Amino acid sequence: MIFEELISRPAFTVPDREKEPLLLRGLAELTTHHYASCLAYRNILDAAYGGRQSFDRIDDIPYLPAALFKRIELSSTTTPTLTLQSSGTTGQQPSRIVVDAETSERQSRGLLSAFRPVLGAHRLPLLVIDTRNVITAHDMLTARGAGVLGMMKFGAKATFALDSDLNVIEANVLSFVERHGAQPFLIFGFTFLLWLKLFKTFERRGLDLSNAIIVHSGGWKKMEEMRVPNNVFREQFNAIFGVRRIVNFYGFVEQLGSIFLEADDGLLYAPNYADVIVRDTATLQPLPVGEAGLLQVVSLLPKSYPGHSILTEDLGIVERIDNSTIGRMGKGIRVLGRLPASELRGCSDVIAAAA
Amino acid sequence: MASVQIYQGDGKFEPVELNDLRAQLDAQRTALAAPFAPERLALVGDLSARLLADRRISEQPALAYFAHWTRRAALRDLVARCNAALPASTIAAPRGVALHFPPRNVETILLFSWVASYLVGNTNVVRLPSAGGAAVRKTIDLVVAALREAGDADLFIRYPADGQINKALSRSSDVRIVWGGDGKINAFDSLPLRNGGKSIWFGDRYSYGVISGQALVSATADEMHELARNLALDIFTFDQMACSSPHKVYVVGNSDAHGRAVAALIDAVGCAASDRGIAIPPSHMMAKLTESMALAAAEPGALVPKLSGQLMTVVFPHTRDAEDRVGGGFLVIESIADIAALIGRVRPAHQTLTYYGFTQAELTDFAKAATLAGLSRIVPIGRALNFDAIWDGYDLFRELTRTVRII
Repeated sequence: MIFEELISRPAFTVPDREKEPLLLRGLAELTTHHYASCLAYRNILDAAYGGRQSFDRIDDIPYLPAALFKRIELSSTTTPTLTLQSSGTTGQQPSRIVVDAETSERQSRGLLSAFRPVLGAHRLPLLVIDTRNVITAHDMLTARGAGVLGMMKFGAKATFALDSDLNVIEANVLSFVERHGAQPFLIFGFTFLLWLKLFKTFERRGLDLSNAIIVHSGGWKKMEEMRVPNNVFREQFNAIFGVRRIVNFYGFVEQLGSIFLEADDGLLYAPNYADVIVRDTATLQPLPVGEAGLLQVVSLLPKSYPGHSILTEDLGIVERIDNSTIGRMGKGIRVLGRLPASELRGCSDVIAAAA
Repeated sequence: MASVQIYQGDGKFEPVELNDLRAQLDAQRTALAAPFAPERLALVGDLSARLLADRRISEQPALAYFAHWTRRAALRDLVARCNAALPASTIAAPRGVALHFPPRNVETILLFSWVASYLVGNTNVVRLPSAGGAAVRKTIDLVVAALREAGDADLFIRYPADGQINKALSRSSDVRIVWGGDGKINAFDSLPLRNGGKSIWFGDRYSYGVISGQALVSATADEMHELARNLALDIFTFDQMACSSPHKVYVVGNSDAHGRAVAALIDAVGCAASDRGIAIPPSHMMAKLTESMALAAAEPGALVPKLSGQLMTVVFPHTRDAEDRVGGGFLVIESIADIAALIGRVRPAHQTLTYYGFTQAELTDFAKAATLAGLSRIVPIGRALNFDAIWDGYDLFRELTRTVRII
């Protein structure tokens, strides 16, 4: 099986030229699988792609817009075990991602494979900058919760730094650092929570996090609003707490487990089992390396729902392919932000009397 | 004390105390004009000529249409029609102070709302929408300047959303026109007018088109081109979000017979939109892509011919009950056996039916039955947005005047 072949190789060691034909075969198989298993997907493929199931190139693989998972439920499994939900902005319909045991296992293996080069094989003490509540939901799990659960596989004895109102439980943080601070340990959380909670709380008091490996992701929209770009985030954590290893990653709930990990060159690299295509924002045609457009992410992980090829509303650019000097093969991308929202005009005033 | 900003032209506003404004309006009630007074007809006719002469304004189809609608010859016809429609032994008189709440974004509506009421002699207060295009602003500047020169008391005003001001102004008005959907209507419904005056409501509406498949198949290249241009005009004016913008087109006949012609029409409408310089923002294109796939997912047999572009469509070989309002260049196309089959689908909230390829007799038969259920406009494709004094079932000139019996 293609997935097994790719995931059994050390992460980021498959050169792009070698990876593409393998991914193509794997993605074509997944397309056929979902076509046979998900009626809604079959209808879409018949309507929009002429029912096509054989492909010459990765960018021929049919894609679904990420927002479609907010609009309808798409399932290719008869044995769902849980539904993942995007955290979602207030008032917005969240994504609903149907996961079964097999896909859940693939997601875990994907995460393990991608993080191993950074986190090593040993389980490190883990400080989660979030509340325990994000993982206690039963059949519904938010993207944040799923991320935390995924990361707990790498950590021993997770300590949660926030209470249910997302306030810092200072005693938890201080005693964690006291107990584990002398050895390498792991801090995980969403970027804005790390900044707003951990950084802001201890900014003036200082905290010795020199042995920490910080893994963070998401919430950059909020970071943008606060005008804290990635480099400032890194510099500040280093300057105040002495953190030397900070790893950002790109991922989204519609393709949980397919994470693009930040490398020493500042780019985010696709894992063995996933890849990215950049498309023109107006024509949706694929763009060459170095041109910015919409990010389409393809991944071999999703079997329980047809999410193996997703067109996001994130803008990005492939900066380089195969950076062997830092041991990162595959495409290195930069995420540039989200497609700016637009508003249509209209007769019907949403807010009464606002006209 | 609450105050209201009065538009002076050139982007400038001057505040006036609400009570002073109300006193001013009361005073105006003794200085109304007769319906279609020559000086008011002249002012509007001159305005039209100035708009038509200004390229920046007349390049905008919606404004060009307003200018065309108010040119001197058109006004003569309007007056003749209105006078002919008056019952014997009656005359028309203005109602008094008219308060206008135009929609937020279909800006030209405010011009039509104002001009219809001005022509029949009312004094008008028009609340300006918070946002507005430059060309419409320029037009309002011309209106304000002309009114000032003529000594008319009509006002274009602005104030932040404020229930007290809505209430006070309503109490000073004899007629109130609210455009902008059911939610907005509800906000004004409880505010009484002076002496139990007249309220005119324009609520949420749904509009669509019907095309004869046979006529489409036999259309010449020129006819196809013309139809595509007209359909593009209907769809892309005001981002397809006006009440009369079509969201669906029924094609009469069998989809096997007209499928290729429909595909050609979709292509041609997309080209016509690009020719007009329409550029839908990428985030809305993504919304259209998502919606087209969601609709296609729901039932087999759909066709999504294009995944990007100005016009995105979902084509069904059958009819559906759903009334999708995506807007910004999104059309659902459904095949229907014959035009009579459409009658049972008409609902009270349906406003404009645009058509192509039917005889007058077919349309009249259809209309007699269909309008029992709904629809207030049946017009050729290409005229969906063409405002008319007969709108949403109202004859506006009639509604904005009192009919006085004289024996």
